[in-house]
Amino acid sequence: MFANFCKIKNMKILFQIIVLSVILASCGSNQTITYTLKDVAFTAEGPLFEGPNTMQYELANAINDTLKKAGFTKDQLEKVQLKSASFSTADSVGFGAFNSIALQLTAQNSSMVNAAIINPIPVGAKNAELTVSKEAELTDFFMQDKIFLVTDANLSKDQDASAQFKANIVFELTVSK
Amino acid sequence: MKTLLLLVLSTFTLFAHSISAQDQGDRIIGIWEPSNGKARVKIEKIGTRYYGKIVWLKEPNDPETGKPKVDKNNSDANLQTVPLKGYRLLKDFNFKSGNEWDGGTIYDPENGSTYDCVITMKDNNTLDIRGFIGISAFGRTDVWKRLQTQKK
Repeated sequence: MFANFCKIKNMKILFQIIVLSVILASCGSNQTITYTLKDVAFTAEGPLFEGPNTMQYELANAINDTLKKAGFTKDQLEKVQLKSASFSTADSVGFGAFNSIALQLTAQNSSMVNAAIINPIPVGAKNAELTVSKEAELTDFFMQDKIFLVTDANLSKDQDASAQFKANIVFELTVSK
Repeated sequence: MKTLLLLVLSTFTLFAHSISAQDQGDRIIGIWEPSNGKARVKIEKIGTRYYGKIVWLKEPNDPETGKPKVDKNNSDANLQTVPLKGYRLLKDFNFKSGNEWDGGTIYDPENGSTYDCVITMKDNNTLDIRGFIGISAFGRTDVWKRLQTQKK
């Protein structure tokens, strides 16, 4: 009688362990996908004035194709993180009088977040690797149809010429299987 | 023929109304100075919402370092080098109706705190900027003046 009771009790524990393992296993079954935006053009028409100059890039239906190719949908999207953002100038002159670049994201139903910064840009640099925010939460942006990438570039003095930057921006998408 | 005319008229009225609402909201665009005169803020439109960034500082350099001021109070250590000049301290405002823009936030770089915020245009050259936590009744209002004044 007592042995049977113990068997039943052990079975219960075993069952609980199995359930817990399944839950834990399902939690761990996320996959990461890299989403890269290449040569994103940010342009500011001259004349430009000393101080911050804003440039925008509108991103429509981001990540849809990337997710589709990988066999996922937006509903499976768990997390989006900015991994890197590097800017370069379209010509060989370099950043000239621009001494900092901040990258922000915004969308209709989400608050704008600061995503990355470089300050100062090393003198004479032709490429600028931005430091990425540790805290920026970007998932909500990518659930929406339209995202605005907003760049604020600080000029140390007025200039007549327009400015054009190209950016390579890499996001890491975490999706649940 | 009458139906067609009515359709055209109603379409035109709707279009005119949407243009008018957009124009009403865009009245806030410009350069503004808070009451303490320490900064100037340019309000601009991104998408359908309004944002304000610092374009001028009375004291651009940090007296401790002698270098341009940065957002040293940001809780994210990676963003503490963001320059205050250019910092977007007003974010995500929607034009509500009449003279009010709401749904946004204001950032105080002196303590690194972000507050809910409502903007009311008292006249074309004066804004009441009310920062608060949770309920608008518990907050503080600052009066901002437009730098290049417009006709009332």
